[in-house]
Amino acid sequence: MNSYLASILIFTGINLISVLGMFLLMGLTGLLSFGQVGFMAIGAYVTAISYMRFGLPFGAGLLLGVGVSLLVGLVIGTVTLKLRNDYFALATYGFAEVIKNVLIYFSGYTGGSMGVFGIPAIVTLPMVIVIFLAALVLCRNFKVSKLGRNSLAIRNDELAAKVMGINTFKQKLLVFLFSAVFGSVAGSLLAFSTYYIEPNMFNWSKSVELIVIVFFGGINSLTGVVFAGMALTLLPEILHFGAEWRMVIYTAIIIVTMIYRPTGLFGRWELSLSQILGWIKGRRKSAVGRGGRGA
Amino acid sequence: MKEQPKTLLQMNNVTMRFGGVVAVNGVNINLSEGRLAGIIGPNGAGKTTVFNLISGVYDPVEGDIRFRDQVISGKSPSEITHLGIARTFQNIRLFKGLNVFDNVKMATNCRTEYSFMEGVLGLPRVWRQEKESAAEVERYLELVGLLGYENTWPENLAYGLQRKLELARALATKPALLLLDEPAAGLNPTEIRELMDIIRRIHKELDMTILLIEHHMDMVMDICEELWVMNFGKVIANGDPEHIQREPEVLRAYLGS
Repeated sequence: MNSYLASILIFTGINLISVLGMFLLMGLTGLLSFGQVGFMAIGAYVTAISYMRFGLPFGAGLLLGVGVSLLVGLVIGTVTLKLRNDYFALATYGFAEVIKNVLIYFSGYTGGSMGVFGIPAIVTLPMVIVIFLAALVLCRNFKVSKLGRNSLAIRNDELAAKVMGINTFKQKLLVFLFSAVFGSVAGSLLAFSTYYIEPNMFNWSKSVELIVIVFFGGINSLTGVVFAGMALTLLPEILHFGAEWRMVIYTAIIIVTMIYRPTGLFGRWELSLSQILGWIKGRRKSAVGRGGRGA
Repeated sequence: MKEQPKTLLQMNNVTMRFGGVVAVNGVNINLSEGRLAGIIGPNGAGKTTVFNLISGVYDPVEGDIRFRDQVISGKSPSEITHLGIARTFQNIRLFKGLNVFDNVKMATNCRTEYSFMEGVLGLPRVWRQEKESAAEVERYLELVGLLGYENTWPENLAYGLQRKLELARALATKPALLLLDEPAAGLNPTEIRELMDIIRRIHKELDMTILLIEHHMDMVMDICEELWVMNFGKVIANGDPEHIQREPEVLRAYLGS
């Protein structure tokens, strides 16, 4: 495969992994968070620094990044998740900015605003695909189990959810941490596929991008979110849009979606395994029928 | 000799204030196990506030609430649901992102035991419990007459059916005490008769203690065994329906003479 295409696909896969985290948090649980990019930064920097400075293997560094993200997430989540949803969004924005500034300030380790250079490209396309599929399966399990029902209930009516026996704070915290893991893993993969990382890669606009994708795909549709993630990451790459035009397109998409399809492109529709099998079977049957064995 | 019925719910001198307004003022309620009882009273008498206090939406300013001799005032709504109290809402509060089936199924969540990790990994225990819950949900949907609507979105249901769905959802937490906040509001006479049958069936077949708030006097007088009458945040009368109907205080509250 041509390496340009491979690198675009790797980038798309990584983006999809953090989009999935955002889907659980914002789509299913209704928590608008600008902090997802903060966890990506933590994952990227922890893995990169532990590899470059301390010779930790990539896999171990990735897990270390997840561990740090969980610890930070626990602190941030405990403090902010008791806030009303709009204040929570603001607080997570602050969190992401703080992470960015910490990275710039502690330049001895992080290289400051210059970033970390010379990270080897360990991440391969098959690796990204496997991790993405694993993440997808986890998300699907989440959605079809009581976890998904609890989250959707909280998103729709938090008081009623409480009265029906859900510990809403605990559920929100668990989802927040879980999505932080997705962000952190995506960050680690990103660092080891782009040669260098710098704080500005983890701007708040990156979180906005994730939010737009979830919003566009459908806040209650895993299928839609994966589709939107692919479309909105691949298209600008293929069409070579500059970064400034990307934001314009994203905001336009938000406005159009809000007006014409407030539940997102796919709404609540999901592609299920049985549907796919059904199509294949139907095809076969009609093929057999055409083969002259009918009647 | 007949056994003395045990007290299930006890409100001792409970007071609730919102700013300067005393919504509930020194209320005492003693509900025996197995009762089908009601709270009536004019609008603004504090009935729904009593429900909000029992279900933990508010904490009382004074007094305490006991359920099976355990103090529940101060506990969170979800803890109280786990102890065995469920409720419906006067203004229907169904979950719009979940279909009819999942609206009821989510209420069984408080009894499923698998953890977050088991859930996302999709371990066998998850599927076993999900299956058990699904069977239960069918039972409750059948009981309230909503079989066949499993895949409908709640906002597409007729009003009367939405009320029934709320009822099924509350039942699915398997409560010992069921609080119904104006279950007949907005229903037509036929639907009210149906609802009365359902409530009687729940009371008998599922062996639940039921406390309901209602404005339809015919219904209340017909199905309730015991009544509390509230006015201006106070309980002004308590007793069986026949006794209540002759109470001068009650007549004054309702007729305003």
